[in-house]
Amino acid sequence: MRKAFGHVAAAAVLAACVAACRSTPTAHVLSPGAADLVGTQRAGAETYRPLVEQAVMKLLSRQRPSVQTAAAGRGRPLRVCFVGIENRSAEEMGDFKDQVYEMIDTMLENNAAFQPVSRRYLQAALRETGLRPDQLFIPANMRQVATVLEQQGQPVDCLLFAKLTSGTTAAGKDVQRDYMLTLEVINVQTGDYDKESALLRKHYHR
Amino acid sequence: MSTRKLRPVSYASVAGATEVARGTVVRNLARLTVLLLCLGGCATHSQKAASVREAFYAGDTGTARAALAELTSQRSHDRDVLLLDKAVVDLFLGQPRTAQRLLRDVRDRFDYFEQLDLREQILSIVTDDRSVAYPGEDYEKVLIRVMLAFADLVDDGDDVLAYALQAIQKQQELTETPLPGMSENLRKSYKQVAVAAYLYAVLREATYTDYDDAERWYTRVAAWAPQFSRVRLDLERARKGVFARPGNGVVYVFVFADRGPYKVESVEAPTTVSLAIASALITALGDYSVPPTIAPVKVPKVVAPPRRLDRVDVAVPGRATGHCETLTDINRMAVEQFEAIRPWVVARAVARRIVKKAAVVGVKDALGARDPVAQLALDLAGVAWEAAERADTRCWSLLPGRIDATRLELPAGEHPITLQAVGVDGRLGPPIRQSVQVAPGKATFVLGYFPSLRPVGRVLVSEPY
Repeated sequence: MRKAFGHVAAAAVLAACVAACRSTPTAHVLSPGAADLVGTQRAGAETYRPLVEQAVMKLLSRQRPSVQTAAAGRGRPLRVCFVGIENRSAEEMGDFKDQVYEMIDTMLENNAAFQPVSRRYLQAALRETGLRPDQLFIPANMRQVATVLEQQGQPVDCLLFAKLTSGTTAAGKDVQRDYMLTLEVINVQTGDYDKESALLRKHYHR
Repeated sequence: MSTRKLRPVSYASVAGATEVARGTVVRNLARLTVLLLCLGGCATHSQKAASVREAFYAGDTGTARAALAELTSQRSHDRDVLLLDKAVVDLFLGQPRTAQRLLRDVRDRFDYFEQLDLREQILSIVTDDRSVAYPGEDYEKVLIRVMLAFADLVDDGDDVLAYALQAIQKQQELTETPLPGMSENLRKSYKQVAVAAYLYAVLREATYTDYDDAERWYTRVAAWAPQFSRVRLDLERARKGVFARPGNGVVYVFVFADRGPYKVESVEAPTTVSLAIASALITALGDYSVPPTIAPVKVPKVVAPPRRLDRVDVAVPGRATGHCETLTDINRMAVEQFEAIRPWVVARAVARRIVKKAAVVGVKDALGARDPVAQLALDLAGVAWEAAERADTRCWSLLPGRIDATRLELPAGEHPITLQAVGVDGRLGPPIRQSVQVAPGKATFVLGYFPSLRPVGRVLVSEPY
């Protein structure tokens, strides 16, 4: 009896040892249609991608004449310089910030109505002028940067600004966070602007 | 159906067989005891690392590197932390790429070793914590990524933003995750590593378009490192100013100052006394004696060397002067983190000791060893088994005591820069001169390791970033 018990115990220990070994980390490529993982602590692909898609699609579908004036008479796409994303949400975007920028820029690039100007030219212009992106809302500053860009061989018709904001509602341990991505296009010559936004609500169960 | 014939057995033959079995067990126990004592007698990591530390801090990087090369050529329980030391030596010998490779390998292994392995856990109860693969202390896990960021900055800077972000994310992950087997999160009280956030903020600010990111992270630096007063200027600039005025560039000087934390073996006296009393009580009340707690319970202790360096002054003749301020106090952080998780470390040591005592009593019960001589023999074996335990003193020995930083805005061009250490007693180190290239609107990073008034190895300078 004692012997049998010993064997069972040894087998149990062996099985536990085998079961509780370190597992080698694995990963797999998600197929194009597969759902994104949903971030449990903060926003991730499941939030940013639909926000970008909605906001950009809305903006492209509207294409207000007031913003297009600069290019209208020239029979060419609107040359737009995407200044950047201002994150005013409660969370840091981390490595998503640059990716969201690239997603928006690529969507503009793929639309015949727009012709994006590389961000590197804008960064060089900001270095040269000593201006901040938020100072570009002042018409004189905007024109100054536009002039530098033109000198670089990159004339622009309008500037595009993106802004991420959030609103948080707490109910006990649960939290609802509404993420809003706003895109704002400003005509550098006239100061006319167009604005579109997308909203995504997320419930965190904590 | 076959039947077995049972032969009558005399009491004398059973008693004789039991005696033989007992003799075999006692002999095997004696062998095991000798083996465990031999294992316990092996040099601990703190003993091995002491010579490396001394050589490195004395500026003898050649000896430190040779010693580390020899130590890391063998498989040992502390190989990973020795590789981390080697990475530091390589970095300040001007080989950031080699340093990065070593750091990346250890970072990945530490991540892997964060998973518990039951075999190792069982072995650690039979022996001690040194038989468990070392996953790194929490501050080391974050600082590996910080060191990777610095090594990459003085190399090509391609991955620096990723490493800085990894350090921030690792820090977040650690403070949100309780230690294995603990419901209470002891890590919540951790002090945050401000240097990773600062580096990230600087890199974002240098883009000229991500001032919001810079502001967010400078705000956190201000909260995590209130002694780093210059961050208020950084914050102000991120809110209203520009990274550098037109035609200017920026030089960031990061100094690894003072000698960093290390672990030594210490005796957990109150626990040892409590266990001794408990052993005596159980012995008095039970059928079998419990091995007395003669061998003290040993646990690691983090030691922070005394502060030798007050600051490092930085000057560009005729242009700018400044001094480095403490951005991250690694010594303090290591001690505080270890104190936070100390109950967990002590609990493991106590659990091990109880299991060992219970095992000895179990053997006595299995053998029916009621006579005093056999009990004494088994108790002695138990005491020897307990005495073979050593504290796990593995740690990254060549970390600096703190990371200090300052910022100078300079006109574009080549500038001579002087770094001079000032001791806590006011003594001055030799001025270290270096040439830096400043590009308009860009950041140049300078990195030096000052364990005392003189730097170790080379002062490293990046290309304008």
